[in-house]
Amino acid sequence: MVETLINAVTLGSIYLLFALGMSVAWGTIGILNFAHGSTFMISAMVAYYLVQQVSLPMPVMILIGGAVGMLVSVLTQALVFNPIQRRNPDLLKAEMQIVVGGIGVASVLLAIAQNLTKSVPFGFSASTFTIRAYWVGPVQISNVQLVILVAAAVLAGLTAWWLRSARAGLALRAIGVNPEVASLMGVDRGRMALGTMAAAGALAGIAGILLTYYLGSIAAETGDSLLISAFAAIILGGVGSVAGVVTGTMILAFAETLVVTHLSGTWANAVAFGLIFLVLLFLPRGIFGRKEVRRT
Amino acid sequence: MIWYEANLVLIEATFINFLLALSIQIPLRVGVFSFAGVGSYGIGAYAAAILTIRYDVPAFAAIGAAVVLAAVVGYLFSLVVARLSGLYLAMATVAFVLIISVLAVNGGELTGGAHGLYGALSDLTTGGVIAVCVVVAALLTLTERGPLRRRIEAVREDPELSLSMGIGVVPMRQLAFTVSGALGACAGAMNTLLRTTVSPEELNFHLIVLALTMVVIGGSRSWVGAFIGAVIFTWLPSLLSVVGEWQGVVYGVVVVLAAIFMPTGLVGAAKDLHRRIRGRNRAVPTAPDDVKEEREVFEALSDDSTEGVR
Amino acid sequence: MTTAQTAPPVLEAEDVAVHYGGIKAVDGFGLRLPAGKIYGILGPNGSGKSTFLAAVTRLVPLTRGRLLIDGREYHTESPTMLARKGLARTFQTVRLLPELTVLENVQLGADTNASGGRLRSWLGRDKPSEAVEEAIERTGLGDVRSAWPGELSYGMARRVEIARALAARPRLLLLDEPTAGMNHSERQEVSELMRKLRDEGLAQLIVEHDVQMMVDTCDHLVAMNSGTLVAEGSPSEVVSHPAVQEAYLGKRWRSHA
Repeated sequence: MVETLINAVTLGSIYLLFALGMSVAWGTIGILNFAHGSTFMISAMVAYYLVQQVSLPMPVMILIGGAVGMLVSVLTQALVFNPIQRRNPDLLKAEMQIVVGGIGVASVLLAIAQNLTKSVPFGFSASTFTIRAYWVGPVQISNVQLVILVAAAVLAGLTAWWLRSARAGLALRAIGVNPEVASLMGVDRGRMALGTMAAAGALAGIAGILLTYYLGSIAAETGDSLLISAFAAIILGGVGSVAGVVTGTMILAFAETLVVTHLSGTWANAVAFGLIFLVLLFLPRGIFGRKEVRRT
Repeated sequence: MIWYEANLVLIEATFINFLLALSIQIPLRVGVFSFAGVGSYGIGAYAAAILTIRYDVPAFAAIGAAVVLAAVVGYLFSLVVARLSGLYLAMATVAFVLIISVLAVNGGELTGGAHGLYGALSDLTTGGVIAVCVVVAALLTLTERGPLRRRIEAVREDPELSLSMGIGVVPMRQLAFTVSGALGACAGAMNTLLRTTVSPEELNFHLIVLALTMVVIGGSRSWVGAFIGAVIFTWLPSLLSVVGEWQGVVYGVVVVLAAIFMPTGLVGAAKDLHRRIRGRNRAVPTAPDDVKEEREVFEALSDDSTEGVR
Repeated sequence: MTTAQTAPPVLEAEDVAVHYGGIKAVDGFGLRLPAGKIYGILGPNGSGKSTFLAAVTRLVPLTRGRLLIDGREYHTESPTMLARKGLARTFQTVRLLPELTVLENVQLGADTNASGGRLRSWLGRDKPSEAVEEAIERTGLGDVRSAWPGELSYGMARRVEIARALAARPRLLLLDEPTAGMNHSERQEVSELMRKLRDEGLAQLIVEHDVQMMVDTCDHLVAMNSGTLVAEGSPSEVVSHPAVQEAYLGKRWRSHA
């Protein structure tokens, strides 16, 4: 029972790391990145190829994942999203084009990954890291789970603090509330956008590494299937709110775990989809959604 | 003749994809970003299979019933999501599609579960499929001329202006969802009857992506664009087989380029080029600076009632 | 009741207030506009003029007050119902549809109240109706019927919007800064057109910055500041009212009559 709890929280933590960057980016610079899932996956894949050459310890793998994720997201922003926004001053049209562009990038990354891995799942067995289980009282918890829980808590906490207190964080929130006024006040939207996407990508990459360690292996398609779950969690919690994405991912993880253990695995996906539906109909702003967050 | 027979499957697929693309394009023409048409495809596919296998219903009756069912579902769905717009609405429609696929997988005997249904034999011919498409295209042409075209443009480009001129935006959107449902189901039903099988795997994100890219690349304003998109994406894989295993990459790159450079697809880009050659301009004149007055205030006030979530 | 005014005013606003987010854009403003008259709302930037127009056309909700057309309350009706009752308006910014020609943009205005029933208006013949042709002619747009909005000067684009409103054969016309960006002769033409329409019985409400234009065109002026009524009366009365002059940054404005 407690182990189910730990598993649910761990799952939620992975979702959290993945969805955190996506939520902040969407709530501030208005970018819903459909390539986020592929970014997650490609970071793990690159780390996989590197670890096949030289046996690396987990911390290094995490760094690699973060770096690759950051790079991919920054390139996506600079080469795809930014040009789209410049060419489409109308918000509604830009949004749609950004979604399409993100889907395109995701397709490219997915195709590359499928070709290279021949659709065979890949894992980090060549890493120096070995899974160990610890006993905390009557309960078993693995070192991977500990790392995931700590990483999620620390990164979420840092993000929340940064948005609230750091100058750049406040500037980013200003963009989320009113981009025109923000740029009149001297906020460089272009640079903030790149920075935000870099951070979001890094988080996705880290999540990719950690999930691969946790599950043992992931496939080329794993990243994209996380997108819908992330979306459900984000809108449940409220776009752009860190407290929101924490709450949303945990609720989602718990709901899915319950459904899988008590019903059947095939209904697990329905949880996310059903949640999206219910939230959008009855609580569109989400639990912690604030009116000031830019809505599309 | 031999080419025709050798490529029959692809030819039929082109027309099916045409209708599928239309199911995404129709809402887009009134400014609604919706993927619900793909869900309707699933509804149509399964409805046709069930009617044909269990009740021996003839092809056109099965298709007709599927279309009516999905149209009703589409209309109800539009009522349910009435307060959403933009990306929120788009994601609700994605959720709708995936819920349909989950229902298909968990439908037990009725839907054949994870394996789907097979043995949906019928008297549907390629000619029948093409005839339906011709009729659809003809009807849609009516919406691309005259008063209806103007009203659609208004609703899409400037809903607030439309309201001020007495053009109801909400009824137009409801109609778009209904028609989108009908067309998607028509595509799904006809596909099932041609291939005699249906399975839940067909209803995945990939289908959503295919439908969207056909419209994005072909053109989002006219059925001609949807048809061009359908032709391109039905035949592209075989053309790209030259490129071999990297087709997925080429496909994705094309989509990205289209998203950046061709927001209205090939048809739109062609129209722009045509206009530019003839020296004509598209942008709307903007106000001199001293006229931008209470606009900010007014927009902030009406933000609540017209944008995003209400 | 003094003179024989048995018919209720075409448009009446009574103690209208529009508040949102702590801002009182309009707070206790009203007017009564009869048929065959041109009323003008005068006021500096931020006085609430456009918000008031938005409230009248039901694009924003009222916080307080009543709105009546022909003596019947309508502040719970939708903007589309208003249009079908014969209300037409232009906006502060140019809102022409870029994919439609000038003619088609004007036709859009007529589509609302097309004769012969709504169904026919949706699928029917596309020959420009009499109302459309008249609107185009009266605004002097005959030469640019087939042009696209992008090819027009700002002043011409604004005239297309006026034509579009006229094509609906409205009973009540609201104009939000219709002559902004126009040159002097264009302004005079608009003023002349408005006066002709008034003589034909059309009730018009105009919001403008150009004081001279208002004085020349309007029968009655209402001055607004900070969301409330400051002065009301004939143009010369209002313009020489001390509060009005003060509101325009203390400039002493003299009639050029």
